[in-house]
Amino acid sequence: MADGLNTVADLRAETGAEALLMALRAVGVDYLFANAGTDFPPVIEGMARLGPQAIPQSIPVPVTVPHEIAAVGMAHGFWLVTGRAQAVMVHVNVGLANAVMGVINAASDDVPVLVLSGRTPITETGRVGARATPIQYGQEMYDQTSLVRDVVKFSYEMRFPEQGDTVVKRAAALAVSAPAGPVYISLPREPLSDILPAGFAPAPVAPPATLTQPDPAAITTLAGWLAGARMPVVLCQRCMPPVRRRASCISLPTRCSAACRCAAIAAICPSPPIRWRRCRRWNPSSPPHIPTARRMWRKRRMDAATALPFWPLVATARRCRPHGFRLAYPTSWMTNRWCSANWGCWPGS
Amino acid sequence: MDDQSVVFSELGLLAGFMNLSGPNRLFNNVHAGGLGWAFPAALGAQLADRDRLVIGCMGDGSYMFANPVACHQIAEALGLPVLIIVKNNAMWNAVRRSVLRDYPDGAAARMNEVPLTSLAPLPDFAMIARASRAHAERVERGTDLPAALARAVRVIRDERRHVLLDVVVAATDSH
Repeated sequence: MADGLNTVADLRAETGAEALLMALRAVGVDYLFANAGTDFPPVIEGMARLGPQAIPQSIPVPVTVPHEIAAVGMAHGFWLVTGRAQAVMVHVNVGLANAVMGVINAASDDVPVLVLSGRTPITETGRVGARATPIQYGQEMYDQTSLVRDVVKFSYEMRFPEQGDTVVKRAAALAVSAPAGPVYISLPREPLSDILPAGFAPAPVAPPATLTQPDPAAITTLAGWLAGARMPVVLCQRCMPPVRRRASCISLPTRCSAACRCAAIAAICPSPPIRWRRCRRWNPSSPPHIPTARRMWRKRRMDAATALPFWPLVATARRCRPHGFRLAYPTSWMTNRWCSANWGCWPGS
Repeated sequence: MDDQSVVFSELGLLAGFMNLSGPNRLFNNVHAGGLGWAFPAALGAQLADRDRLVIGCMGDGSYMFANPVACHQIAEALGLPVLIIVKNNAMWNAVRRSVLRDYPDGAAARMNEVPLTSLAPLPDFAMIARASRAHAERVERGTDLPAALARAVRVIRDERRHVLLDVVVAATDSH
């Protein structure tokens, strides 16, 4: 037990780093995938004081990961199977540079990750956490966040120790709100090391935004296509967060098969009761067996181009996002345009 | 793959040839295409559920982009018994295919080796994995693959070690 404390409720963060660690756990982060550097002493000290060995569940489990790409990739894979966002912490600008590719992947895939990196100390003397080695001069940047700004939904640089709490909670809520994606917090060593002000109390956990709903008129159109289709094919790629994705992938083809005789699910959402081969039996004039979703997609586009409505493909589950949500998020914004362009060229639309 | 198995594929698997038991069993590499994703993603998924069979299937290029020495260290240090399958054609075939698509009758297409695509000579991936105490095999004939996969699953189940299968494949023009 640390300092004679017995429960999480008894714990009091003392530094900015400890407030940050406890806030990460409060927002549901199980693991902090970390590639540590000289920016980490207050974080590591906080881990030792508050860590799972001392009091279970007070902070995320720290995981030592010897390359940044692996750290972000692990958080990515963890989200895909659990729907729970995790955190990555890397070493100042150089570690962040190594992590960027993984953050690009997460942004492209709507995967929320809390990306944290140290920021070389701002002050040169006189404060706990101030610069102590020549390296910390070499790691200075005018704008460290610029390394990831294009591919994160939110970014902020911590200034005061109490922000270790509030900024994490705000960032986490934004990360998991639809459309989900990575967020970034820059962490100078001084506020991480600073003692929290007297009377500090953790903020309430901020809830994510409520789910947005598709346009009812578009759903009505879609339902009409589905009901009138001789052989609807549903192509799913990246769809919903795991729990909702599971429900939607199972219920749609089942209901569809009752109404329309046949449905095929390709790519990542196969459905046990209804398989592609059965669809061929239902409709011998349908295209021959096409082994991959990609080829199905290519075929469908060809049908659309030649205005042959013979393969009434109904839906793709690549999520279309509300336009304009992320003007500072170019890769996903391009995906929006790609999505809407394809809606426009479908047969019957 | 059993009912709960999940696989992360990075230029590795063809969904149309697979019989998956349900949704969320196959995750392909993302559109951004930052290679080196599948191996650590599989590690993260295994961390979430240590009893599930978690597979990472990737090309040899993707495997090297993933910093394999770091990833094997993680697998051993955290006790994550993932199954890593490397489809090894000793090249960046996606690059080669894109050259042939754009210049089907070009000078590059007439060469035995398209410039900037060969990864030969490759290191012995099995030795890299064994350096972190993984069970590792190189599979050079298709007929040997089923038995190698069975051994891999047995090692994962019984010894709780991670496994690497280095599967030699031919470069294809279609996928």
